[in-house]
Amino acid sequence: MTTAPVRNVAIAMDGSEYADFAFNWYMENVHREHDHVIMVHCPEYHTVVQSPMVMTDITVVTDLLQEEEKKTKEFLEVLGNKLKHAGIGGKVKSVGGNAGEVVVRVADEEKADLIVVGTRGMGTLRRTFVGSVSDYIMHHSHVPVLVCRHKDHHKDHHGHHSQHPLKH
Amino acid sequence: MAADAGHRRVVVMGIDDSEFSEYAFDFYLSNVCRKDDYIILVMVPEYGTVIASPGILTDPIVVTELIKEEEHKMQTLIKKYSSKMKEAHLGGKVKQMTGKVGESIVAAAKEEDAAMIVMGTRGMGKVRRTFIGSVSDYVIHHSHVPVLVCRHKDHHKHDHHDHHDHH
Repeated sequence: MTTAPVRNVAIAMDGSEYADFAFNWYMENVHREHDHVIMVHCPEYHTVVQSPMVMTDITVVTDLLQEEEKKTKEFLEVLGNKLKHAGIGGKVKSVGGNAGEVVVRVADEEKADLIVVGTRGMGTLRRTFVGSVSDYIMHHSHVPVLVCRHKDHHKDHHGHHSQHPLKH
Repeated sequence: MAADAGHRRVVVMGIDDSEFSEYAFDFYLSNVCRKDDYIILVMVPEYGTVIASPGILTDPIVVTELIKEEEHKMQTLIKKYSSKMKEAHLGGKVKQMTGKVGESIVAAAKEEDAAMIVMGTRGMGKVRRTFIGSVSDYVIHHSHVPVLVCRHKDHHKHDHHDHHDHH
């Protein structure tokens, strides 16, 4: 086996337990000493702006956006510390937009050799077994994608089985 | 399942005769493989599509020929990957299964208590006019463990075309 050159690994991080699980799994099973890890974060300002009640008062909107920005900054610090704590060389990138597209784009820009993603995120829509972001990334990535599914996640499915028309 | 250093990981790899499987195997070898990994190569012969083709059903001789061809393909495939494994000093086995490819891979991972699944995105299955990665799609949605989908740059050229059909 060849000693691998420096690898760039893009990991989609949104603060959810699924992303954390993906990160940890990557660390335990794939990570190699000189990996350059790019944590990709996609802030979700649009959820703030879409709340119907909020649209009437501009100051409320700006306040909420400012709060979101603050939360994002704090979260990015958390991600930076995660890298430091694990002794990984890398960076944290926060790019606005459609989460799936952002991850694929950043992975391209950073010349990632691999993308690591959980099966879900913080999204509130749980109609599917695999989040739309992970699904998008899987279909549009130009490089291998590691979709980190955890046994326990399957429990989510049981709630859906009664409604879901498809049989396995 | 988290792997401690030294704890043997069972890796299920979906393999067919395409270059995409070869790419997946090589990528796994260069980037994920660890010394003690136990690799289970899952191969699913495509008898189903042979028997399902309407025109062919009328001639039993043609059917047996096709089946024999498929079996021959399997043997070649097994030989090829067995030697790849030997070259890389990897331990494992071949698991030939019947039925649908995606379901077989997921079932194998469950049966063998795999730590992860490795697969390519195309070429797994004769029905290639279906959407990109229908098998990898299935596996990702039904697997209980992490799945490494080895997507290759060239796949993208095909994606654009097929993906429009999808939506």
